[in-house]
Amino acid sequence: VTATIPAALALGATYAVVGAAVAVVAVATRTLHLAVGQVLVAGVLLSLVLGSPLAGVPGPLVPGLVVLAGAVLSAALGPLVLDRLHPGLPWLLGLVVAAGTIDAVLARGLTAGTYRPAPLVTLPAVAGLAPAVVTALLLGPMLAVSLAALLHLTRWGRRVRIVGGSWTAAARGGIRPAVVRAQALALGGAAAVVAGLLAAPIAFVSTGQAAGFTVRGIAAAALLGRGGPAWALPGGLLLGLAEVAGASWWPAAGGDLAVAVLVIGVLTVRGGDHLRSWGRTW
Amino acid sequence: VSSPASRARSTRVPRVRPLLVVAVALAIVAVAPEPVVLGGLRLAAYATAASGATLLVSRTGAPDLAIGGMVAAGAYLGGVASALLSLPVAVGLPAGLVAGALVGAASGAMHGRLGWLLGALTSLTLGGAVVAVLGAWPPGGGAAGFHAVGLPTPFGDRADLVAIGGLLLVALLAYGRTAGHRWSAAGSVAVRAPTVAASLGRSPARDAARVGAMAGGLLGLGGVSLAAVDGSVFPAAYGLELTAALALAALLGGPSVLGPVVGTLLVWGPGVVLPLVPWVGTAPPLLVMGPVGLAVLALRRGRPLLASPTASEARRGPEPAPDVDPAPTPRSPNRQTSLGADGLATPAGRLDLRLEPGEVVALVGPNGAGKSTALARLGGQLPDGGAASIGGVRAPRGAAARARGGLARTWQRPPDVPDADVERLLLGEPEAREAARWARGLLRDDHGSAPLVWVAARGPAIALFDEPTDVPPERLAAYLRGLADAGTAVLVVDHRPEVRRAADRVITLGGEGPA
Repeated sequence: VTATIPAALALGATYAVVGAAVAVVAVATRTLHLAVGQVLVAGVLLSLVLGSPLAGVPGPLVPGLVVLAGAVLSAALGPLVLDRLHPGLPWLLGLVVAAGTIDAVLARGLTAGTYRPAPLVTLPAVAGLAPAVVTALLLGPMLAVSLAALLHLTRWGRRVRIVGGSWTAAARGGIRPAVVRAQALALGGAAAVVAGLLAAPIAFVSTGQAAGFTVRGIAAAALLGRGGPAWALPGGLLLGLAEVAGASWWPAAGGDLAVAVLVIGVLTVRGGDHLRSWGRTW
Repeated sequence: VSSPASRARSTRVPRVRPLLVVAVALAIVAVAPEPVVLGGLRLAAYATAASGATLLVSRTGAPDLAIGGMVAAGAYLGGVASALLSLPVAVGLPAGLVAGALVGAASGAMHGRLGWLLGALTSLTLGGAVVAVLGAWPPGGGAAGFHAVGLPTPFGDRADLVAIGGLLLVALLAYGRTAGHRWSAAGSVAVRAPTVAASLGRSPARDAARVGAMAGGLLGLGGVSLAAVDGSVFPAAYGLELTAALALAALLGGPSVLGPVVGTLLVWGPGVVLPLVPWVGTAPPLLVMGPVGLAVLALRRGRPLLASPTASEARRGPEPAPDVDPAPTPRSPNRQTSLGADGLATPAGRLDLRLEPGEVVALVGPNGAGKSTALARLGGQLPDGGAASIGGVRAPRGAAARARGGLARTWQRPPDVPDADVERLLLGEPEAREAARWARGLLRDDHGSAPLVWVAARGPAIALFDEPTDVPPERLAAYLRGLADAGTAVLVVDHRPEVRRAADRVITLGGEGPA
């Protein structure tokens, strides 16, 4: 138990970072970043390829490069998908098609081989906990809280909220909405890749898990509160605990099943609140 | 005015001619060289699944991301399980259909409960869990070389094409019937605007679950077909790629009966029909057609390649109403009743209100005073803390219960639902059609007046209107007076002098003096 619970919380902390990233994008665009899991997996696989002896990229440069790649990939979804299609259903399905396309490219085009993922930051073992667990437990919550502070306490966060509230009003107020939205998407992509780098040493990360990361990230943000990045932290931790508990009960599918039961159960019971928090209906 | 018959025609999806076209195409493929037959087999199986995806995504407007899970449920339970148990096709096919329908009903119910945005999340979660559970089943982890449900006939690929093609025709026929049915209209409203559906007295979760079950059944049937054609089932085949490809096919093809076939040809066609082109032939469908499909949708501003009568009617909105004889009249409520509020919480303070049958009351106040909040509490969209009463007794909880009790309302922002679908639900009775004719004749406006027409069609005991400023004030005043004269208790939020003058009383919320 002393080993499993911290590991579960560490996993949950990475979900919290993804959730915070999803929440930032949701505030800016009023839609769900349904390709966030694919961006995360792309970053991890790219880090493995770049970090391999064949690529020859110096180790310290790898995290920066893959975070930049995640930011660019996520920001590109704005002009490639959101600008081309109508808000609402077309946006959502456009993002799903983009996610499926990234999945297809990753699964067939980016072979990571058998290289071991290196921790993002090498922290010492604490109280018998593995360094990767300590790193995720420390950095994950810090990142989620930082994103919440960025969104709610800074001038940039205010701009993001204005753009999400009304694109036209933002433009009339001297804000460049496309730039702010691209920044929010880029920040979301970068945070997702950081979450992936935190998760890679403690969990299996491959294209098969991309949709699962998307689910856990969005669920972390939406599970407990009002859809904000701060609420993603307890939501993510709860999801991590549920997943590990489920997997210990049924290794083959218990993790996915436990997450599904938790997400569907909580959202179904709290449906009305979440409808109000993610978009006014009148 | 559009007659009931013409409106019925406008929401009916033509289905005989498209089926003949598909049957002829299948017959041509069946006598073509062997590689074409094999390609046709796979495309027919995908098109069967795409008919379910089209019903959900294109017709109903649900971003249901459990469609891969529905196909998987059909493939595993209708294909693998039936093959393992040596069940005949007459059992395997219904098993796949029921398995897909169960997943579809669950996913649909969540869409109706949560709306399309969080419904997308829960459906993605559900689809992933279904595939994970099925994949964890020992025979389901990866099964190859079996003959699912006996569909591959012992008479060769051409006979197989007849069997799979027959299933496709059945699926398209079922889709055509369902897409034009009242169920689909109810599901469309429930998914796009659960609050509106509840305010019409419907259960959004039940309506969305019903259409989800229909679509899930078709997707499950597609899963059985795919399992039969491939002779193999792997969990990875039912992931997000399949979901995205089916959704893209549904978006591209559109809600017409031929839509699933056209969408399938576009998404899977290049990889199946052109195996001689090496790169295209071996690449996964989305790698090639994902960007192309999105580009096509972008160029067409989201419009599908095939239009349907239902969709075009929805865009156009109700037809203008010329004067006809005999002059239609507003619909009297079945039971006249009063609306009360004792200390209703609003941002501006507590509101006391008494609204009697035949009375028009205008509610005015500054921005942010809580006029819309008050209407939402009275309508049951927000909790009222027991402050609202109907007929002198505490109002039932929830919007649907109050709507069934005779309360109707409109929204400040017109709901984003196809007018034709709402009218399909409301204009069943002759009295409703006559009242709608009366309202259209009076309001003479296209889209902005549609929610007011819906209210009139219901003949409500209590009607709440939240700033219906799309309608010219003098016409609105005549409309409100007509409703009140028929016995309806009317509460309207509107600041225009013409409307205030037409009201029997004006209540100020958040202004000077008590409300």
